[in-house]
Amino acid sequence: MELKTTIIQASIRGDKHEAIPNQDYINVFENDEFLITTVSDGLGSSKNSLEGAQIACKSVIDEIQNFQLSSELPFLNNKIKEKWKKEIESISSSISDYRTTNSFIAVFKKEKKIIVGQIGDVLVSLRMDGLFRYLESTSKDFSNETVCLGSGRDENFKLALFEFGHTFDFLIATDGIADELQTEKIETLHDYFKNKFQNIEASKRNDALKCDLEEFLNEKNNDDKSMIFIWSNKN
Amino acid sequence: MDSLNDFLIQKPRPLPVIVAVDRSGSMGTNGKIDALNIALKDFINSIKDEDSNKAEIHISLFSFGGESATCDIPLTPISQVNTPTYQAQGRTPMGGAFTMLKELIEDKIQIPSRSYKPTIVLLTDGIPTDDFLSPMNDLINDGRSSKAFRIAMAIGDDADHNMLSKFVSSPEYLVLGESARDIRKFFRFVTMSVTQRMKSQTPDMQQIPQMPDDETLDF
Repeated sequence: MELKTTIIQASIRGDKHEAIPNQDYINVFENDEFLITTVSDGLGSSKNSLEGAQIACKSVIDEIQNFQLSSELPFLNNKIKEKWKKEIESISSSISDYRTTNSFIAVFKKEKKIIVGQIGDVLVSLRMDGLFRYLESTSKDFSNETVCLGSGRDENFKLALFEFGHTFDFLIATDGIADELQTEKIETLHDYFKNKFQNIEASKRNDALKCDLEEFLNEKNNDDKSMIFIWSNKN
Repeated sequence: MDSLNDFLIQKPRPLPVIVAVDRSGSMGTNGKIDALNIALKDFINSIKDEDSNKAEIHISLFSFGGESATCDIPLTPISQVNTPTYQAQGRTPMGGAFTMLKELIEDKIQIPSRSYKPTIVLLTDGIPTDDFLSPMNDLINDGRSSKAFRIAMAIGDDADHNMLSKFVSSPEYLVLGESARDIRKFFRFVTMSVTQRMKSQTPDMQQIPQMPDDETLDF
């Protein structure tokens, strides 16, 4: 049976020096087998972090498509990190200029399995068949302090594999949004997004979300703010 | 829930400023403790006026003197802080203060991870009289506390300049003072450092202001 989903996403630039671009990046890949959503937050202190963020999303999408569910999850961690590093080294000798966080959710449609990955402080929350959970970055010390790809330390993705039966919805949000959320309300936020945006014409949803971010979150901090929310539709 | 705003933390991100001051007996000479009391009140009052949607200064005040270090103000939003008045007496148990500072900064309940990096401010005119080396090394080298900005003032020649040069997070953050008047100047410097962070697009980047001229101090 075909898996139908609705996707809303938006990314807004933080209030910062005009020469610095939005260093967040969102990528969504979908075919008959996979739905892969990935969000990276390039570190503001790294001059090429937007490229690092884009390459991280691409590495995730490439390696998940090659990943066998029968393999161990740490193998996927290694493959994504190696791919990212190799791509960066092909364009620069200074990996630290490309530092980025990344989180992803990959839905294996036929197998009805979901892999969640996180390196750094990009929030991931998901609900499958009514059961809610979220991944918090416990290693984060202060605002704008995070583990990342390119740090020079051997930091790894936190990875988890789940099965779902019928429905799911999930949120991935960079710290410009996630740090401002009341964690005890994140599950209700899923309901809010679903209820609000399913009543908005499809072509206008992303613009409406962007307006929400600009109205309520831009004044909170200077970080770039990006998020994607996806829910499965009943067939 | 009618809008996205209903899901957001309504308070700005905390910017912790943690002050540790010397109230040992030697601070009672040459008007130093009086100057400290005035400077602390001015410091608190001047940063109370800073307002931002993006950061809220939270203050904690520690002191060391007598036989032990004490926490005189637990971490509190700046708008609610009342400054104590210190009396100078006893020894210089600075190591005890370092241990307390470390405990506070490592506590993610008191300083959540959405906070900006803390600034630690240390003022002393003497040499620690307790075991300070291990607590200081823990504070400046290990864990979360190692990421704080650390500013210090050494008043007079009796202060341990060598220790304080290791304590600060950047050489520009060690201020050498000769007299009570310099205490007030130092706290102006701290005020400028904190307010520059408040106004910055990147509050977690180090801000090193110019030391204020004597002419800018209104006595």
